[in-house]
Amino acid sequence: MAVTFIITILVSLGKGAVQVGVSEIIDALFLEEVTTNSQIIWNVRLPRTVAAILVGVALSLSGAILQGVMRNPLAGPNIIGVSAGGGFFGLLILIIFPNYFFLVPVGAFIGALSATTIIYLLAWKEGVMPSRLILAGVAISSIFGAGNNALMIFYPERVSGVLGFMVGGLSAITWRDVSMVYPFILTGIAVALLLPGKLNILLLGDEVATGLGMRVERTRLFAIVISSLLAGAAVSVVGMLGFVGLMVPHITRLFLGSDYRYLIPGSMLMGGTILLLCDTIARVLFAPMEIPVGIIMSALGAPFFLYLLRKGKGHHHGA
Amino acid sequence: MELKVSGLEVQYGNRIILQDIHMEVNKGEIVSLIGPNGSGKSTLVKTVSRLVKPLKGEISYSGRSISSIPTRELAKIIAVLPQEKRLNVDLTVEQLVSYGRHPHLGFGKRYGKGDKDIVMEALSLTGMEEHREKSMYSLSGGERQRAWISMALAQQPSFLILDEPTTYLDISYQMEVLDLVEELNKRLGITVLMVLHDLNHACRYSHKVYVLKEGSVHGSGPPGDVIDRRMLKEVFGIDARIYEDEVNNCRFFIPGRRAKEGA
Repeated sequence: MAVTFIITILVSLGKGAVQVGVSEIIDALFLEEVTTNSQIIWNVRLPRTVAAILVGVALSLSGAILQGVMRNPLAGPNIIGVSAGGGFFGLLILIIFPNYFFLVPVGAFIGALSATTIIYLLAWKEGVMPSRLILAGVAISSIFGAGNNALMIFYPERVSGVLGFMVGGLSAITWRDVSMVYPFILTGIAVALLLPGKLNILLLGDEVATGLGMRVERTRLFAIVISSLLAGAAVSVVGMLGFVGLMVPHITRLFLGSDYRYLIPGSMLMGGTILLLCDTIARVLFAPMEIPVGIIMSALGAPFFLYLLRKGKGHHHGA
Repeated sequence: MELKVSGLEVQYGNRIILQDIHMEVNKGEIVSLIGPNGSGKSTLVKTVSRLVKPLKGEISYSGRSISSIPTRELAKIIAVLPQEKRLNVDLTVEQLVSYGRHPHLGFGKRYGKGDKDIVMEALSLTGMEEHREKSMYSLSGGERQRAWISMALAQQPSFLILDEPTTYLDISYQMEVLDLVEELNKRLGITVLMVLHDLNHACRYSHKVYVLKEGSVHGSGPPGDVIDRRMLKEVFGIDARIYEDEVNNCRFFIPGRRAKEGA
């Protein structure tokens, strides 16, 4: 898996409107010499590659954690309203205040976190039952969805400008975009690495977990905060990219099983690889024209996922 | 006295589930809770294991009020096995049992050799050593329950709380589990509080029973004193014939017919 990951990085850096060889990539990365190709690598492709990896890792990790704390295989960043909330705020800025487009990442991030907070508070009743949280998430997401549709109906002439954000895409990513989100994502990853043992025990049910001395509510809240931080940061870069957060943990589970000690690092690696691969395909397939990575992700990812699911390698039990 | 419950009252919303409950469990005893469906047995064990918060009353372990004991600390004193146990993941028996060490681990205290020894000991106490690498899914009902009990033992508790440990099990597995509980009680001196559905099991395996009816204690004491025709009629609404089992030296009964209302 790690080898695939590295190969994908090299391919991603090399392929595009201008082809660059492997040795040139390595020269560009590690030597000071400035050439046209090294400029392309450093200023165009590398930030995008890094962004794709960060986003893939963040969304997959977020999904893996949420599926664990909710004990529900359908959980993902969309369930806690991250995509809907972030998407709505992003659209609001793009459509109503298009001059402030540079605020989109910040707005999307704030929107994502506030949607999660609203959902959590609505689901709270002497503790949060996962099923209630999921239902509240579906309801709130649908309200934000209505908001998105309303915006598009009222401002039809501006819709074409926001399509990329709606579908999820990584075009025109710069180092500035990367530098805005990487602190959140790296922090999220570092903290998430403390969670596997807790998630394993949480999977035994709230009562057993409490009996084993875990403060279930606190652990669950903590895990949800981390996942919304990760997913919120991702959404602010990539837009409303669906499916990664739901699918990658499942694919990883099919290969590695359900033990969170393996599932967490596995999902990260898998998520980074898959998103980078899809983004590279998105850039290269109709080069020099690009298609948003969200389309590739769903068009290639979903059938591959279904194939794996049908092949049914090993047990596949819910969360 | 290991567990003392006094003046306990529990409500779900406006519905009173338990009221004015007094209960005492001494060290080394096996105490069973019996009563019809909805009489509050499960709620009582959940309350004494702090899964449910009481409205009134006091619960203490060895004189310490339960509300003053930190969660992790409590998990070293009591081990709780709920009636419904989920297995959302495919675990081996040993993995499951190792989770029993959770309350003893923490920052700077990772699972180590000492913990593994305790897990192995817990597995051998329940006779699950040879199955330790098997998937939980591949076990029989009785073996699975034994694995859960091993997990509880790995917590090294002095008090074991079991909510209907024989649910969904065939008769031979029911005996397998209850024999194990009895043996653990004798060998380790572990105190046991359990909910039992089968009154004959309660007669045979308990030192003391508490009979619950509509959220109150209807009677308590050694099963030979408490489980009689009058109680069966008043609490369960059945006419029954009572016999003595001379082999196991306990009382047992055979239900006749349902008693008529008010009879």
